[in-house]
Amino acid sequence: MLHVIDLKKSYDNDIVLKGINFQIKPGEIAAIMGPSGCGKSTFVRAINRLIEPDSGEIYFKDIAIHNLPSAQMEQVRKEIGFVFQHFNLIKRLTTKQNVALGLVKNGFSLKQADAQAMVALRDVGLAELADLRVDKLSGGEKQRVGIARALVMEPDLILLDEPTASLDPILVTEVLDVLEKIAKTRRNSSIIIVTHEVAFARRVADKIYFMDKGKFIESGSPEEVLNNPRSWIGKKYKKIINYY
Amino acid sequence: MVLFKSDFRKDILIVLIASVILGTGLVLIGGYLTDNYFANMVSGVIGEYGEYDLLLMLSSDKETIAIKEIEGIVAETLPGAVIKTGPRVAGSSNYLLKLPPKFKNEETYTNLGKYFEDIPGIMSKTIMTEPRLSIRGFRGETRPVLRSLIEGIAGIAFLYPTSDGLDIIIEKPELLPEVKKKVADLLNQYSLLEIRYPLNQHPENLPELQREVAQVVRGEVTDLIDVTSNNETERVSLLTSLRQMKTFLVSYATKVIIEQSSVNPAISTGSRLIAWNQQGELIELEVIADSETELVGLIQQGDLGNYSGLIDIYQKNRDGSTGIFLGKGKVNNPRRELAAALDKLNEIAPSLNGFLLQSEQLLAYSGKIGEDLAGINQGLSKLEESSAKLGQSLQEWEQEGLSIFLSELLLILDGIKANIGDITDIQRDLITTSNQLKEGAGLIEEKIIYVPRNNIMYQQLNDLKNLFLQLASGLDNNYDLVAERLQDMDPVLNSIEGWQEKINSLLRVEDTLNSSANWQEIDGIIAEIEQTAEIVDTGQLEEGLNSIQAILSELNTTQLPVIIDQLSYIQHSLPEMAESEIVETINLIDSYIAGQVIPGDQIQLLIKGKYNSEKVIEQIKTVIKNPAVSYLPPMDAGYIQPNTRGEIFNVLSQVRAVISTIVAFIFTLLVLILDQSLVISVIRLNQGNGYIYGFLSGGLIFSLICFLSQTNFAYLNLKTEFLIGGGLGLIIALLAKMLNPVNSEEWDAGKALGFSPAEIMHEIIIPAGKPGLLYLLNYPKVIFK
Repeated sequence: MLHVIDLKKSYDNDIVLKGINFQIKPGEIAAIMGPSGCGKSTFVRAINRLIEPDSGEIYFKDIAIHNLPSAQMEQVRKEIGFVFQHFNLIKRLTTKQNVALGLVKNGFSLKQADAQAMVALRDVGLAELADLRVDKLSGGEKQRVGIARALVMEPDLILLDEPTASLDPILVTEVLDVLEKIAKTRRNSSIIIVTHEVAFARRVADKIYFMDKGKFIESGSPEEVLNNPRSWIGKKYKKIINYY
Repeated sequence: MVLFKSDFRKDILIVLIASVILGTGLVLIGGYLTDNYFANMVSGVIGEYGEYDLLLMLSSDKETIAIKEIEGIVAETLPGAVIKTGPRVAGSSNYLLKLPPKFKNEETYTNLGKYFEDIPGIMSKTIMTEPRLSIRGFRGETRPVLRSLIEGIAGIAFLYPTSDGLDIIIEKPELLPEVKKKVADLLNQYSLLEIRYPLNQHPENLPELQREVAQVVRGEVTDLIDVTSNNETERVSLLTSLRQMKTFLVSYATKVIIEQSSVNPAISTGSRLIAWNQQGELIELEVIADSETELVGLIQQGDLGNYSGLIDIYQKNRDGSTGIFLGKGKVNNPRRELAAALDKLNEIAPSLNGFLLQSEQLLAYSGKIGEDLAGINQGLSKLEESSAKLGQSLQEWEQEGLSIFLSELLLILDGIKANIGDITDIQRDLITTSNQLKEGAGLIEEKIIYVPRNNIMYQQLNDLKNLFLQLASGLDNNYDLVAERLQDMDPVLNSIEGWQEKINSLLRVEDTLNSSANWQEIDGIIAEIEQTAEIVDTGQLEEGLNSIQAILSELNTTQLPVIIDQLSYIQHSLPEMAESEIVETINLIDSYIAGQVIPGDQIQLLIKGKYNSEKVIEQIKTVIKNPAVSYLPPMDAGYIQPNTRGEIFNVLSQVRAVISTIVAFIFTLLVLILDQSLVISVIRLNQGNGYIYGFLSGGLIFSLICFLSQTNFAYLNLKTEFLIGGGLGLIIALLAKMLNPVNSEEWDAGKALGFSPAEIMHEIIIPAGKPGLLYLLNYPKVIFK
């Protein structure tokens, strides 16, 4: 589904991604974990070129997208859902409009888009808030709208950039429950999730990647990397699991 | 520059074009409203463009009489003309006159001012016919030369000369720009080269020099016309009059003359002196002349009245206090002296009148002498005729009545004696009168210097002086004649007594008839009388006396009343001014004529086409050969002067330009704040250079609006307008994030959804932005409104 080869990105003299190699198969769920500032969000944003990488290759469904012209890249993005850490909702629109906007711009009629949006909102448990402006919603609700907006496009790849990082602990659960549900029900989509929720990752992910200073330092199945961690990050996360 | 690589560049272009079009429209509307408002205001005051032809400004206090006269003149001279009451402003009333088409011609316009010049209380007359061009600045005889060329331009209805130029009435308003351009082009073809002699320098061979200069210049230029005019202009006449008036006033003012020997040498022309008059009032003097022997001070403050003695003079210190005593000053009051002289002249009049009576008497005496002499001759003839018979007898003597005749002859001789004595008295009177006349002429000669030469009074006094001298000369001549005749009379006078004695003895003949010797004696006497009588030419004497009487008669009947009137006129027409008024008037004249120069002679050449003026002037110098002569660089042959209404509309156009520019500026600012700041924010969000875009967009919008709406603001051109707009754009670019912030999360969300930059702008950014032109134009494209 996605094959990333030697992806690099730097800001001025600060090298954020140091030649990342990554691969995910269709229907696979990958969790990327690591300390803050290690380059997780940059990597996930570089995949759909919300951030332009400096070099490297990105193949999405065997198409080299790293050098696609803007117009074609825009078409590719429609097949890649993205859930932002800070929700990135369109404030002036309602819940339903936020979800339906992508569909309409993708050629759906308003009526169709409306119906599809309602389905997506039901999936995330927000059907009753469909006509409320998003700035009236709670953080958890906003993030669920963000998830619905990504899912409604039925993408082949879903990128989630720390979807619970901006939420208070009480609201984290409702988002994680939704995500877990999605992970179980939508097995035709590949999911890459950047998260610190180690328990969630252990339950949901097929593969966990530990990242440090712009590189993956350990990867493997949750059992491998969390039960017998080799990297210092893995050991830290194991300690957290053991703590709870 | 993400936006410019996307479809959104079309939107940017559209919004820029729409901004410029809308801005231009607003500026034009603003300009139109300004024009309309002010034009209506002006039209309300002085009528619509071309509606009226003449503006008459009247003093409000004479308005009622004046308007009646105006109506009368219009009815008589300009029938069909319409009078409209204009605005009343601060003591003046305005009337507008509209002429019928038949009076729109050169003759009427040339005389239009004259028609109304005698209206009581008229303050000004202004021709305001439109469309009209006024050409001014003609020098020399340029006007007639250029007029004949201007007349050939199509679209001109007629021309008429004004006091200082030429006005052109155009056939139709739409032809005005074309005619104006053609006239300007024509004027631009010509220039005036002026060679000016110094003040009061008048070369005798000027005409010859003119020809030579023209000949020299002709070799260097394509066409040349000598338009030299040495007629004094009104300004020069005025200046000359003012200078003479000043001279008169200075000589007319009371002066104090101080002997220089008694004066501090520090005192010189311009120094201030102090004195006190008889009443103890302060007199301030300014030294106006400073010679080795004396200082002349002119009264600046105070009045000495008719005092003409000596006064104490002190120096005036810088702080205004009284300084050291300088000495005695003699008061010289020319006005008082002039008045005294005129009083003296008045005394001559009664004297002349008395002399006239004497002259009539003289004539009567002259006639009587003539008659007497004729009687003597007649008697002598009779005597001669009778003497032949005297030898015969006493009886015959008695029969002839000789004794009676001799008695009559004695009486006649008495009369002659008395009359000759009277003539001697008249001779004395003649001398007295002649002297009086000469004295009068001398007084006039002495005082005439106080009268300006260009004043009519000067000529009258001069005529009077000449008349006095002519009369005195006439009297002197006749005196000579009378004296000569009296000399002729002398032997008669001397003989008369002898004759009388002899005749008395003859009368005793009757008693001595027997003495034959007496008969011979009678013969001798008769012969002697006859001879003397023939010597005296009474006809010539009478003729001389008649001539005197003719002069005196003329003096009495025609010239004397005129002389008396003139004297009275002179006395009453002299200005009755106080010293302070005289000084104020002198100062006023000084302030006016300060820097004004009365030009000397000049040569003026109207030259067609371009030429090397320096070279031409060098060649002229070889002819003139006078280093004092100045050569003025080529001047305009004439220039088109904006007329009053044109000036008003020019001011209005400037007001419109300012308002239009302000509208354009405000509109540009709004467009930049509402629309372009959003675009700039997006560009900066995507790491583009928003400052360049801000500068370019601001510059383009403002300069194009100004250009398309033709704001014509005097101090701006396209370049400066672009820079101003650009500067505004830079400021907006600097403040863009604050004025129109773009939510980067929303931008990323759109991007992640696969939207193009244009779609992100249309659906997400612009709808969330400020409601400007961009917002309005985008509104139809928004899906979720």
